[in-house]
Amino acid sequence: MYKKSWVIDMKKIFIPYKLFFIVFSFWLLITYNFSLFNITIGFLACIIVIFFSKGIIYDQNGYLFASITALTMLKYSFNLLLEIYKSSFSYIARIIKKDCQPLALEVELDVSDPLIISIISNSITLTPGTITINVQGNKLTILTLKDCQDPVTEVGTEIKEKFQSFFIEKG
Amino acid sequence: MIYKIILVISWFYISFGIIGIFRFKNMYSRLLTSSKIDTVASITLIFALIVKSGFTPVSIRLILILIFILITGPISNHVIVRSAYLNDIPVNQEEVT
Amino acid sequence: MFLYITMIFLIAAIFFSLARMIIGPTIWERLLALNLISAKVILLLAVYGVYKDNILMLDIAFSYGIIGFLSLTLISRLVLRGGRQK
Repeated sequence: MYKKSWVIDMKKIFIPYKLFFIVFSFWLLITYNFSLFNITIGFLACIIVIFFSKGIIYDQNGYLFASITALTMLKYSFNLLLEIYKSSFSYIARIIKKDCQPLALEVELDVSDPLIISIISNSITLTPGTITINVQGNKLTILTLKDCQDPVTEVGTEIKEKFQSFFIEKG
Repeated sequence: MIYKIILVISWFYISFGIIGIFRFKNMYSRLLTSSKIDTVASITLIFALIVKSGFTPVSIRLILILIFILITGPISNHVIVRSAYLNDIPVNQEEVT
Repeated sequence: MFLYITMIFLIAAIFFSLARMIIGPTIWERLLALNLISAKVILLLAVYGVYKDNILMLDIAFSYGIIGFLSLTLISRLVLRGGRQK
């Protein structure tokens, strides 16, 4: 049966203002041209892009994932830079010693929001020494280098307390 | 004057990335090493360029390139390693050649 | 002067990655070398743009990054599906 889904109920319409501001500021930053013609073209292009991204990012009722405030994102990225530089030093020492074997292990997270899971797995890949191979639900498979003396199970708990605790206490 | 010191640090990272490609014998170790050190090298080098050029339109483009590298670099490494892992290459295998 | 030496370092790194691409036994190492060359070319274009004080080079670096990412993802999906030969 064909339903007329294009008839819009006027009370339920949802306009994503935040997404529009983000996309429009990227347009202004990339072109870096503040004439009236350029601003009008950018406005129209942003409206077209947002109209066609319905069902992917937002829905009839709101966004499809939990929103993260800008302050949390700023703190998190600063923390991430620190972690990257800290682990790169230990990785260079591991290149010089050269006596290690890779292994794969599984870590189960406690959060279930898809945006937070993708951010956590992306930042696991970004820090030197670990790569996320596969994600199913909230179970990650992680490839890492085994340090030949240490017990294996420390890596999972270390990752958990490093990244995941940052999002949980913020809600 | 500060940017020269940061550039010297980035040379260090680039040369260690090249050493890491040729030094290990296992395939997964090479995949882990080279791509990771490469990410750190690009962050350091672009940060040095931002410090050199000050607050101009050039530095805004550089910040956008840095954000782009930080988002798409992990995805491409993840895709390569995942396609090797799902094709049943064993993890603990010594490379023959 | 320092930017000049940085460009020489990057070009040497590109040639070593090319050697890895030629002698690499499996196809994933060739993909890895492609990834490294793509990242190095982005950095080379950015350094050259700052060295010549030319803002158009940075736009070229941006679009080169997008093209490299798309091609690498598509080739890797093809290999994962089976390709012509494993």
